[in-house]
Amino acid sequence: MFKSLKRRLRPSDLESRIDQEMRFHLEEHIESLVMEGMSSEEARLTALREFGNVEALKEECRDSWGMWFIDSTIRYLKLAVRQMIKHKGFASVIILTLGIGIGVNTMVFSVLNGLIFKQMDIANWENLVRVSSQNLQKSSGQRGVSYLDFRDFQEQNNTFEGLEAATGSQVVISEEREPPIGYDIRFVSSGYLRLLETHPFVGRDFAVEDHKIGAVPVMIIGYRVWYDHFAQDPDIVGKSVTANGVPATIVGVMSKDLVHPSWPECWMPLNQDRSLDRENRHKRNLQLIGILKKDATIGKARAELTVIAQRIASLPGNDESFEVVVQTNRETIPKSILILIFLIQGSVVFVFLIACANVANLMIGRAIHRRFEISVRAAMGATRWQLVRQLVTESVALSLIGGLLGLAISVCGIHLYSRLGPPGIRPFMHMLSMDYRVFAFLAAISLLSGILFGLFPAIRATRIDLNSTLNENTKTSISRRGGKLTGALVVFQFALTVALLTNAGLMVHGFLSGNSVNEFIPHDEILTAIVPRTTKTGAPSTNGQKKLQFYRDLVHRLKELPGVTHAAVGSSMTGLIGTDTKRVEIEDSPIRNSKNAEQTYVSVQSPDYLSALGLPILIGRDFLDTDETQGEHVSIVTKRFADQHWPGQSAIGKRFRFLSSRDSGPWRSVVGVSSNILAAPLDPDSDSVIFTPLDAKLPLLMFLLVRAPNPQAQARAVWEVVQDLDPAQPLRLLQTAQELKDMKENILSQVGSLFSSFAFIAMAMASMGVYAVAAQSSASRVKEIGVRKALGATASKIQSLMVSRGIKQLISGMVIGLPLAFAIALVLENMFSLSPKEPLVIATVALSLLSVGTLACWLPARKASIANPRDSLRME
Amino acid sequence: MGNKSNNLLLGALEMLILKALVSEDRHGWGISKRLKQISSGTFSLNIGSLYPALYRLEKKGLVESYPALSEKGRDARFYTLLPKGKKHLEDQLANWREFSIAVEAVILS
Repeated sequence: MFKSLKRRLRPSDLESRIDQEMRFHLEEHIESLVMEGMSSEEARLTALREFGNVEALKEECRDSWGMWFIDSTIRYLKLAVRQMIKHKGFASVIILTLGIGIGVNTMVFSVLNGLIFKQMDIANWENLVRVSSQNLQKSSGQRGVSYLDFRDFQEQNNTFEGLEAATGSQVVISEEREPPIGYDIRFVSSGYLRLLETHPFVGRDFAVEDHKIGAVPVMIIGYRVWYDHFAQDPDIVGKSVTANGVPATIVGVMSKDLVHPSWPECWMPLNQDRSLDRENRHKRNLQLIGILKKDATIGKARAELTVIAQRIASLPGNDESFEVVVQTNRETIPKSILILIFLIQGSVVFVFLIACANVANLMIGRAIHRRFEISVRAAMGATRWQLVRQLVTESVALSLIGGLLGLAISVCGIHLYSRLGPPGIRPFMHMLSMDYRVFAFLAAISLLSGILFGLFPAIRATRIDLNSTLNENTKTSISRRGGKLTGALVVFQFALTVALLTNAGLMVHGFLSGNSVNEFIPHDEILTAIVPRTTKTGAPSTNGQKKLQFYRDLVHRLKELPGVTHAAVGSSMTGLIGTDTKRVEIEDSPIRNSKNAEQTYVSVQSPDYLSALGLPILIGRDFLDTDETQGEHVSIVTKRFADQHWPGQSAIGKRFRFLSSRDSGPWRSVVGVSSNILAAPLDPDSDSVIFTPLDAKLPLLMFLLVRAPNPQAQARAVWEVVQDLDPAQPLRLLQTAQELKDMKENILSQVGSLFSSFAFIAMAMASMGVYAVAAQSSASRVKEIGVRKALGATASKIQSLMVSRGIKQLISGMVIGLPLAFAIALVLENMFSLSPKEPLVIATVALSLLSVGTLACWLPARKASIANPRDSLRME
Repeated sequence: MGNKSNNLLLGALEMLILKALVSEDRHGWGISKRLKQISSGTFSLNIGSLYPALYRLEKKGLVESYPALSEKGRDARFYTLLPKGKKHLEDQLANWREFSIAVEAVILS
């Protein structure tokens, strides 16, 4: 057994054994013939003749030995390498094409891989779960867990290695003579940071005493806070600051590379959260994370926590309508991000498939040139299977080298990106590092692509009629059959290219149109900020009237600043960033099903907002501070809204109301009609907007808008006004509207340019494919063209004859590609609110593709048609 | 790629080779000589079938080979029948007899 295994593993032994046996047999044979009376020379020739084809015999011996696969693969590889060396140019074009394709695919895959499998750089990431709760009676979103429930879960479970909690909120850090700044903070339970393997790189972790109730407040700050707020103060540890009005000591700074779920900027012990309710089970605001024990499954954890929760709920006074939700981290990744990455992956796979089709076409071309060689091999006794294997081995060898190149490209690409990419990317780099999944992907696409682009050409190339190939000299017999396959490949390439180009076009179009909407807004004269109104404890302020008064005072004080022409606050910055929508019912046109009522963009704004944006009021008036105080509800609508609902009439005095799931709001009358503004820059129908004045029911986040000729210079003054009104009031994200716009467009333009570059590569590759096919076909028809010309056909006639075939392929490609393009566009529409039926984009894509493709067909046709018929006829 | 009659012939060839090894261990040349001799020249075994068949038999574990010197002192490789091969031969012979009786019955009827 062992012996036979050893023999099997060493093909060279087998080889020498076969040689030796053949030699022995031959010698004996010759000797016996000599003994029968032949001359030795005669005997040798006779024996050799009887021996037949020695190579074929050896081959058969190897085959029957069962060694053939490894052994012959090695021989085929040797042959393949010889072919590559012989045709260096051909091989390097293929390797380069595949290498780039594989490299880009691997890069994108490593992002996908990182996102799904390695979101955080901790050893137990796979076992990390999130625990939340959900109200069974309302289909509202997920809620947190109450403090008492958390304690019970923590003490009674057997499936968790650790289960920890955090509350998220705002902290306002203030120092003497410095304006207070608000930051995101997590108040964390005692094992939280240890569970996530996050520790400060300067200073210390929270100690056990820090977590006790009534302990001296301590705080760990994030790297950015240290960098921006404290200017990298080397003596930061031990520094005392005021956090939400209470003195706290900074004990540590988190590392720059820290990646934390939802990225807070500061951390404090859970018991320092003054809004934490340790008695009330109905107050569900803790976010729980846990790491499962090695032998526990998520199902087990779910079952166990559900049992505990049911036991708690059955106690008197508790709410039975909540159920526990246990999710893996992967389940909490936003769908939109996953879809986006999958789309990018899909498009690079498209590009790669187009590249493979090109390579397949090249291989077909090569196979035609190698027809003679293949026929000779077949005549020598090689079976079709052996020939196909040889050709596929060659293509796989090429694709594997391409894969190595791709590996190098992706490693370099990731490295370069981490060094030259945006600075915010650094904490995520661990996500992009190579792991076994990435290598498996790389190996799989290298191998598969080799088989994919090698197999069909190989099968076709070996379908040969020995007699005709060896005797005949024309190339027509084979290239006509090849034409079908290459034609199909071209159609396939163009279908993919249409899909890619259309969507890239839609994105770029969306980006450009988003860029040029609301052009009346003086972005560079507007300063924006977020003013979250919170109480001293960091919890949202609940006193509506006081809140309203604060914002009114703020606006008045800001307007008094020298240089400031307008100041306003609102629930959103309509025209600058997204606006909420509400369902609307118009008076005297009742809606039967409130679910079907029309959604309209709605924004709460103080007086002066519209004029600050430069949006004129066409009829009626702006809001007044006295609006909403006399029990009458008013609104300003855009011209589009007025024209939609009261066509041909004056909208002033007309009434409508908002519908919500529970009740209908009060009737609101229109006091002004403004000109149109797009609430969602990418949606051309978003110019039907309603503005309502400030009232006592303001949302937590309010936006501030100050217009001045030089807004950046006003930033400090704005700070001072806010601080003067309330020293604890934070102001977040103070930036100009221009900065806001740039940031927002950045994402779309990056995604758009990514898609465009893929699409243009795809177009270039597909056109190259068409060109190669056309050139090949015209080369094989030289004789035919010569005859046609000799018979009197004009050059233009020949050109149109030859181009028409290419155009047919292009059009079939488009017919197949457009539905595919629409399918992808529908997905994009939901994500970016792009309009998929943009006829201009589709027409542009179709026309440009058609013209580039036609050019690629025409160039070789022209060359063939202007050749002298005498030369063409003599050529073969 | 093979068809039935091919398989039958291959099976017959293997049976003949095994039969030739019953009396003594032989090298490839010896086997072909022996078959020619006992069939009075009817089976002139093609070398192109002999060696692949020998390798197949060895792979199946029916025969074993070992290097040794031939009668004339040349390096040769001898094949010996293994117990499993003997068993296989007996089965095959029984089958063959059954088959040839059946064929004969049909032909003579």
